[in-house]
Amino acid sequence: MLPSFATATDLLLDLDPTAQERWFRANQTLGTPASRWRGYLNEMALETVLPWLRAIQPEPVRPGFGSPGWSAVALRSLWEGCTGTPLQVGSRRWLLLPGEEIDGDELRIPQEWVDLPGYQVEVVLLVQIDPDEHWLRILGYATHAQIKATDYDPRDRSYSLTADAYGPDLTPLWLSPTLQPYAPLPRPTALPSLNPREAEALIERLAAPHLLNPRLEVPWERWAALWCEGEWRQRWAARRWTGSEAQGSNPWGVLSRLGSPIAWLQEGVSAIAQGSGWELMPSVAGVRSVGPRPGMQSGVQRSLRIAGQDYLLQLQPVEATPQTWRFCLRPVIPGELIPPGTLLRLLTEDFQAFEGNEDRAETPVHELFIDVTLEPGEGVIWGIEPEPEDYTPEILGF
Amino acid sequence: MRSRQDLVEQFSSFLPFEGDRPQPWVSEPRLRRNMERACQGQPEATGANLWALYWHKQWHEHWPRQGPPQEQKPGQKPGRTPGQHQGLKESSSPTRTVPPALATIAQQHLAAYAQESCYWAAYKTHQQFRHTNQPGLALGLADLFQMAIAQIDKILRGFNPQAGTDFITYAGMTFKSLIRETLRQQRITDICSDWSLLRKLSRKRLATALAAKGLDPDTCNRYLLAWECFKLCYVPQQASATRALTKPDAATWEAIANQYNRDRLSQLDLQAPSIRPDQLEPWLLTCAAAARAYLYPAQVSANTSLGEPEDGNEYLDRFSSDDHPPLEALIQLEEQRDRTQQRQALLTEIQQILGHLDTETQQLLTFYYRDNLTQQDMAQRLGVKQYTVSRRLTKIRTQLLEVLAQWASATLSPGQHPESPDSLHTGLNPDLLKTLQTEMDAWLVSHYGNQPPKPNP
Repeated sequence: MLPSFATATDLLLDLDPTAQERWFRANQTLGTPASRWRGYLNEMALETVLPWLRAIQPEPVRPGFGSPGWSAVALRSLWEGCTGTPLQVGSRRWLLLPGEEIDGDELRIPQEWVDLPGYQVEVVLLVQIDPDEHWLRILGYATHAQIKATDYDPRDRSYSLTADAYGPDLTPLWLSPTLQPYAPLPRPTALPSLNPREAEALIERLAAPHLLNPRLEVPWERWAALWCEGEWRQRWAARRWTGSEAQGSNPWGVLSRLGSPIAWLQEGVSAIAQGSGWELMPSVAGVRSVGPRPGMQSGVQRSLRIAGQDYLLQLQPVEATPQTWRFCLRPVIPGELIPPGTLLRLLTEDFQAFEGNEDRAETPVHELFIDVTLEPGEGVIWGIEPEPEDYTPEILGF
Repeated sequence: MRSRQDLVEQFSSFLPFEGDRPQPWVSEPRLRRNMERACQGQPEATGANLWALYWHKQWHEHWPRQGPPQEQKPGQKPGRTPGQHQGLKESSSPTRTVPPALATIAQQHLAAYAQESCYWAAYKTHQQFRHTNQPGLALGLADLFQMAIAQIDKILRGFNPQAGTDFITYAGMTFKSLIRETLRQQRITDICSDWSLLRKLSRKRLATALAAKGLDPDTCNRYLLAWECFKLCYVPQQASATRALTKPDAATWEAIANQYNRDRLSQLDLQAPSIRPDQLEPWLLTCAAAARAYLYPAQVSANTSLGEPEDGNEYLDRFSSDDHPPLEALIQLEEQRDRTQQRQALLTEIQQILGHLDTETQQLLTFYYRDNLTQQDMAQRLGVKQYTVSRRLTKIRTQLLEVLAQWASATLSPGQHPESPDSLHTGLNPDLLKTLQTEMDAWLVSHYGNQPPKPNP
């Protein structure tokens, strides 16, 4: 371990080697060697720094900007292009910038986070990671103004932040609002927008697998216009991700693999899954209908909106039956019913059906559920008809 | 080591070592003469810190601002190299110019002044490591001392004369951090294979290291591009195997070469030829070697680093002119800094806050400021989670910084407010906050540094 050389002002956070393996694996579907490693570093940073931030300061922290936060697919599609993980910290937009560089002479910040409308960040949190010795170190922070004052390098479209130019101590960020080092963001240059046909052509072109650095393939304005539009960026990213043939040929492209609900029950829902809306089920006994059933362990859930109605999709281990899980869909409001024709469906990672993989409401019912037994490492895709709002298919890997 | 009391000696003598034992102070004749003349010219200035401010201002005004050599655009000549990691020994390239004489001599005065605080930083670090049996830590006290004093430039760059911290206090704090940081970098560098090391360098570091090796700009740029392509194509295949990477295989070399040949058209000078995969390995090994060499700078030999005798006379002549700022201005600055009533009230307020803290928080601050423990160590000693330590430290340090920042905000001159077109709701300038933070830390180091150490549990 490194701590004997670390100064007291070093903010060192431990990395759990088992979790590292999970994060590494989750990002192996990304498109290039560089983006896989980049995804790994960013997810490591996210999962380690977010809980720490929540522990040391009172503002809510979410992955991505705004509320409720960005899904795993959205985040991983960012990393397919460039490094950086956005965080919403209270009312402020932060960026986590992970790096492995040991010299600290320079940190490079992609222009996407400095100059693009909707993606400008107010503060960059500089983070150094040593995957071998399992630690993460918070080097300091830089404000948007400090970054803008540094040298811009058009060769890789990033700003070069040198050691003198940032603050090694985070304390100024916790001061009262009139003293914090924020300044209003400058208005970003508006981008020429793409029409859907142009976007499709650009996605096609930049999806080509031989492109190791698609970000620099086209002029900045065109790249930026594509990257800024979440849906287009996600479609482009999914085209580049590697998965089984079944995955590659389905209309959504390769899916994002979320972590394991088994781990979530033990350690809390991962940050990247929180962004997708997953949370622990409340464990208050005796609360009707939205709490865990008596006799079952607590589980995880996420909210969905289907045809104008609010639902919870709940996932709980079935007690006494090892490796068996119950997927359950029920309306949020106790007493409400699910309309006939609604269907809950599970598929394997390869989009294959299996026996008992569907539950359909023939008449109005209180809930739909499917019990499924899974091998360790097996993944499951859930789906619902009619399709929920903002639905992106995802794989839960057990 | 004898502690120097005489002003002239403090600013003109250096500490030699025999093995790990400090030897009697050695006076550098030109610095001594210069300091004597300066003192004679301003007999009422008797404080060491005042002179430190004086020489710092000299250095600041005449030292080239650009720092280490920038990356060169194709076709440009290499720029000046203020001697950063090389101490003041210039590299062998004939096109590099010497830093201005005035700045050099000012730097040397400050290097002389800082010898004692550097010694104590090295000494304390050495003591701590002797007890921990670090494998491979073959460095002695003299090595640590050299490592720190060679980076005096970082001290000078980071010191803000307007902050309430004495130069020597600031130097002491920073030397310790510098030593630890350099040791950390050296240790990782030593463990890493060349291929792993290449992945752990910043572009700036590599560019600086290649330039320091004497490569011309066009070659540097080609190597840098090859390095970028290498990083793009070759990544670790496991979550925790980043330090022992082996050489890329043939398919990867080919991929790197292909990427290079694609990119050179847009990224390099027009004459850059395409490369074959087998050309890459020597290039990248050169990069790794340059990075390793850079981390182990030539020893700074203070006595001989002042240039040729002719230049020496030139320095002295220049110092007799009216170029340098009047000392009175500096005296005023120091007085203003020390005596403002608000500052007194400030310190009282801080002392009050500290006095009301519970025992455990007091203990935390002592661990932090006196013992330099990591958060993990503190958590272990107190039997709590690291998050708890983090939270408590953050809370109290925020509270204290808030007091300082409120005071600064109330007494700020307009020039120190951040510029902004619609200046509603802007906070304080981050550089100002950095300065205040340093001042606060320095004050707390001296406050808790005098507590008697508790025995190790």
